[in-house]
Amino acid sequence: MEQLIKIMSEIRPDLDFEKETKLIDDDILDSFDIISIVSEVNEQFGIEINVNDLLPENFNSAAALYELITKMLNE
Amino acid sequence: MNIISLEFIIFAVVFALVFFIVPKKWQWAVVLLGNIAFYAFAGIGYIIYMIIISLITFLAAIKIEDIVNASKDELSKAESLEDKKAIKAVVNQKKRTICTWALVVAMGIWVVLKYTNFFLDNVNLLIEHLKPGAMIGNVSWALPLGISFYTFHAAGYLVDVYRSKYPAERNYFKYLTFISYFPHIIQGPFSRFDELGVSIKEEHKFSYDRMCEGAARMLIGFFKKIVIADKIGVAVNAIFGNYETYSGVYMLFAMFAYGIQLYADFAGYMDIVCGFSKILGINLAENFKRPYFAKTVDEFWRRWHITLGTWFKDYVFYPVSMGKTGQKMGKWARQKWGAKMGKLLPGYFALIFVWTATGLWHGANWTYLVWGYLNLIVITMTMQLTDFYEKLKAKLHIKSEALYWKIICIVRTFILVCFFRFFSAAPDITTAVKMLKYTGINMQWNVLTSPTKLFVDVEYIDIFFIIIGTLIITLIDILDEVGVWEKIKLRCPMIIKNLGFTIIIMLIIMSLGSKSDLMGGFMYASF
Repeated sequence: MEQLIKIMSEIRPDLDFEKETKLIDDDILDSFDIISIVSEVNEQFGIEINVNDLLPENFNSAAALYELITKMLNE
Repeated sequence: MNIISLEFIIFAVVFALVFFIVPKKWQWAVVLLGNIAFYAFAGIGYIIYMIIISLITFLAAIKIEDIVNASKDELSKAESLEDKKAIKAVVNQKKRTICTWALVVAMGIWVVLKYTNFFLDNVNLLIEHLKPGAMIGNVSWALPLGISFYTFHAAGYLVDVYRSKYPAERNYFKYLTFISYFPHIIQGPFSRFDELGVSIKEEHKFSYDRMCEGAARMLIGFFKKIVIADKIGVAVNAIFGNYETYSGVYMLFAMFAYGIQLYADFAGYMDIVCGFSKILGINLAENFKRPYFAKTVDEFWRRWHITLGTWFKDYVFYPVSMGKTGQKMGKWARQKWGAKMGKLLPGYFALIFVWTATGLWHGANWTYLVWGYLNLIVITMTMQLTDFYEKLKAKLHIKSEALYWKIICIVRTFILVCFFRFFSAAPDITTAVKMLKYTGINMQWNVLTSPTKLFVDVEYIDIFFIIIGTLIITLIDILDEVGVWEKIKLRCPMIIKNLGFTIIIMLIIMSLGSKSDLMGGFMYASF
């Protein structure tokens, strides 16, 4: 989780990813942020989040994204 | 059927009555019959294209879902992680093949019907240089009503099922009801099956409050279209059509007037169809969020034709920017120029596709491509120069939150989007360039001493309607922008509300009797 928070904070240093829970619903992350996060996460965790996984429930919070990463790592 | 007609009002009233009279479980079937009846006014023969496109996407979605369901059993029996991966790879390949072929055929029909003449015109330009006189004749088929919209609705549905966003619809007629829903078929909004499709299938009780709310919104829509768009459009057509005569200030006026006309026309239509759907209890997606209050061109496109923007974001921007090429570009840019470019470059790459598609979607003409690329250039330049602007603002002691700065940004954005539309308003690039040229020469400043002359071919009474109408809509938008309009609507005494609506109805009726009126269809319907 720490690694993920670090990735997200580097892309959007103005946000507290431990507290935000409506990153997509409230339009806090824009599309450029999302593709950067996905690119970094894919590279650093060795997984393949693709366009099919771009659902609000996977990106609304760092915890939700971490859940997706964990699920993919276990598959 | 023109939505601004007595014919439509009668159709809408009969439709709503039947919708609420029949047993609730059959309401969706009433919608389907209504859609077919509405479509029949434009020529029932054209419905064949809708049936083919909807059938292809319907069957492909079911096939994709069946493949996924069948694989679940295989996956549960797989003994190792490698076996699971192998099964998933085969399933994904099958899904991709079906989805791709279905999209190629469905969208291919639309592409052939919409772009054949554009393609032939360009081939002819080439031939003219190589072998003068040998030209290929244009095709004369008409573009079926709403094909650009229902093809995109169908394509979006199929991709969503492919992405397992929601289950496939198993009843073709219910799916066809969604695809052919007449309020969104002429000029949108772009609807999603998991929203509108579900909303149509639900059972709807009649609600008096909802009917009043929906009717009020329809009234506002008629007001925008009849009192503003159709009247100011007379001046726009007269000036743009004679730009050599009406140069300078006239052209500048027409440039802004065209912006007002487009908004009143398109947002007016949305108010009518969203209001009508509201009466039925069916939710249509909102397409506008006070676009002329946007402070940047990028923000403008998040407020104008919102559903088109989100469609392209979901089905073009993300697949391209997250595809292999986009991701490679991002890595390369990050290593070469740092994190910022690593973040921006894949997005810029995808935006080229988005704006090419947006331009061509609006019209099969180079003018629309130029218009799209002008938007693209300004959007990417704004993103690229963000740091520079911030430093400059700090140096000049400009605070982004200051009201005067917000107003400057809003005015600048309005000027830019109106300026870009020179290209979408002109029939070809040469004319667009000439129109631009004539905007800058022979300024005719003297017309400013009697500004009513700017409203070329518009009667005095209609100038009054346009000004009053624009002021009312601007005031409503300002109140909405600052977040008080909804509160006013809730707390306003009934007598004031009734007075307001009486004024609006009177203005609509009075303006219907005037001479300067386009009385045409909606502008976006031609896209």
